[in-house]
Amino acid sequence: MPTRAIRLLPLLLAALCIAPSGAAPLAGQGMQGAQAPAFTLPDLEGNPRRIGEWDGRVVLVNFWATWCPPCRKEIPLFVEMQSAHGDAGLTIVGVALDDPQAAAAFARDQGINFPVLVGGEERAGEVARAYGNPYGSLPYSVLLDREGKVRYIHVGRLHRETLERELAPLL
Amino acid sequence: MTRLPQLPRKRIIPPAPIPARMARMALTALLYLLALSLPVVAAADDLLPPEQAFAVEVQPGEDDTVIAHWEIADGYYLYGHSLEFTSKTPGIELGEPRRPEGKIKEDEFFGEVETYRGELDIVLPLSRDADAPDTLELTLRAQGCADAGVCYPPQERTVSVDLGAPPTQAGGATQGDPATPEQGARPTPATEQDRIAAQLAQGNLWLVLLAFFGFGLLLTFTPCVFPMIPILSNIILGQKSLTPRKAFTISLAFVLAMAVTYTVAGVFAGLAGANLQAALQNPWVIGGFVIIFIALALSMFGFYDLQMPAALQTRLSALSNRQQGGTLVGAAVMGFLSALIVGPCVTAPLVGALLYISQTGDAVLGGLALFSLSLGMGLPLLILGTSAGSLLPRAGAWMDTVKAVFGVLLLAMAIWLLERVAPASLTLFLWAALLMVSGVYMGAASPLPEENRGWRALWKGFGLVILVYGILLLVGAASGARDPFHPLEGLTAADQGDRQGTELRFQAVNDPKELEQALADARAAGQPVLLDFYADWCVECTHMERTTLRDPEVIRALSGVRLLKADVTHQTRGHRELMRSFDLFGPPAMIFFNARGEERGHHRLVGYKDAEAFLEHIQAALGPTREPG
Repeated sequence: MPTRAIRLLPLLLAALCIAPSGAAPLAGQGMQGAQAPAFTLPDLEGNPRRIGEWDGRVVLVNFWATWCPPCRKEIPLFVEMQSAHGDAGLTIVGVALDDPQAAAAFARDQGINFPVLVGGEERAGEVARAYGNPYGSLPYSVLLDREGKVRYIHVGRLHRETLERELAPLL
Repeated sequence: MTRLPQLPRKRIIPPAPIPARMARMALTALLYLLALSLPVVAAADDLLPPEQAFAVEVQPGEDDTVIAHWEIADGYYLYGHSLEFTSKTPGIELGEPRRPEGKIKEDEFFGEVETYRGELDIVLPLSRDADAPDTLELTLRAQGCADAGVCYPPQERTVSVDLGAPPTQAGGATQGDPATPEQGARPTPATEQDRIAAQLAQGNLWLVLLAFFGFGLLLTFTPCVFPMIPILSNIILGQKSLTPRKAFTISLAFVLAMAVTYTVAGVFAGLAGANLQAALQNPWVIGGFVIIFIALALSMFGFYDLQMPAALQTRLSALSNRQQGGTLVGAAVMGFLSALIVGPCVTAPLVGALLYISQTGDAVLGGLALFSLSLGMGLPLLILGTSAGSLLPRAGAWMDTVKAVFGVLLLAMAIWLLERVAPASLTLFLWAALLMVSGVYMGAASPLPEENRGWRALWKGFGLVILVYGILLLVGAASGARDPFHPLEGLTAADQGDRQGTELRFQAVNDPKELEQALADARAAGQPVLLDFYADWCVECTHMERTTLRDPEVIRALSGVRLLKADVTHQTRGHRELMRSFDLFGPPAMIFFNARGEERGHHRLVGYKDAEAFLEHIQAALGPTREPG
């Protein structure tokens, strides 16, 4: 019964993975301080954008999607932070693992004031993987300093205090 | 008014060879244990891969359906609105998916959303063209999140489902009745009794018989077999000239009669759907047996010399010319009566065999399974009976003591049987009397002799314990207690007040109509339902009532559940109809309904479960049921 075997397999893997609990794979492990991987994705207008464009600025790469409730909750904070710290050198770059049209509609509704890159779940998902997020689980944020090095990685919704604490030394 | 949910009659679970099954079961159990023993926290940092968090498999179901079965890891949930199914096979169309009601969650963006945790079964009806292929390419899409505040991208998977001749993949599966080829597979291994029915269906005769023999052995120390010990010992001890060989043949006659009775009664129950054992639980039959026990006990005490049982023996030995015939027939008659009246135990293996018989009409294999189950139950009796013949002293004071002990045990059996039909205060009084008199006989009230104190002192000590407990029981009987294990519950006034809060309150249902009404009420209130089939004569039921159902955790877990009890002690017409509507053979059985009044068919409970296992079962059957706060 192959299906049964398949059902057991993840369990076995889970047991093996969880057992030495310290050794669980951490999202973004080993990325700290590393040079952020380069990538190019179209923005909401369809123009290709390179992450390298924002070299010299502090960049918060935020992976999100409209189907992800916690992502939607944190967007207003990013809109606010972009207008508060934009002049000090912060650029938030949204990467939507989503249907471009759904992402565009949401960006319009929320008044998103920073670039949003799309490319469908597939291509955006690859970028997420390159940034240390193997399953494309969202929300996921990676903070880069002005040299394009990874300074902070956050899995889950990002709260104001955390973001301000991490931004302060970089700006 | 909705129809009562019916257990589909024709239903065979896809079988697998028993060794493989057992190995897999053991492995699964081991892995779950391993997984459970570790803290299951979906911390944001160590998320499960989506295919582990939302494991899914698809199997063919009944009546042109396929069933998608998810096992959602602890701390993860799926969104109901995200579920999408597409057929990639031309000629096969999917109908409206039937999914259970999820938990409604208020989401500030999506409004009210339905979420699922734990196990989720979705039934997809198919409409197939005449020339449609037998393999369905099915695409499933689902999206979910973790409690840690992280969501996974929609998971899309395409699987092939073999719709062809149902469960034959294990090789040589019994098809049951060839007139009903539409037997489908059930998605989950379901209940213990269903698994056992499935094992029977897989058809390797010797393995099946061996397995059932093993099940029988496991029942040795349950109330299903225990009462047989004093009865058989009594027969053995009643023999004038006892050789080990004779003890063995007598025990064998008893055990074989018991086994045949179980088998015949079982096959009858499986085919006719009527429980003979349950039907015999009426005051007259029980009363008759109580009298037999008392008579046997008195002969043990030496009031008169009674060959087992004298009247029967003389009449029957006249029929048989063999010298031992009378005793053997007597033993067989006792075995027969004991199986029918004393130990009517509904256990998972028994129900499994009965289910198999009623589903397939295959009385031969089902009957063989029942027979080997009974032999398994009988083997310890056989050993005990035979050794009693060679171990017990033949004469002297010791022998009298041994006889007296068995006499007391027989009287205890009589009271125990009487509990099924007589008021609790009366039987409690009888327990008190039995213990107190036994205590006095053991010398609890007499002074120890000057010399030779050792054993006598020990004996007297035990006698005192028994005497004092007997007095407690007497006090209990006078103060309205019902349970011999809690004789003082009527006196502990302090918890009188909060007893209300710490006891489960069941609503009685006595026939299908009352049940329908109660289910409709529960549906209107949005409550899941637990229906408990109970009878006073059902030892497992009372055991569960006294232990599991008094556990504070269990009581708390059932706080949001509507509790119904079908007390089928008296086996009225309504009771029988009620049991038949669920294809039940007798109590104990617990049946779970979700808040929409649909039976959670995979989660029927038959037989005893302790609090921990029961809690787990409730969780699986009904999900989180605790009332907030």
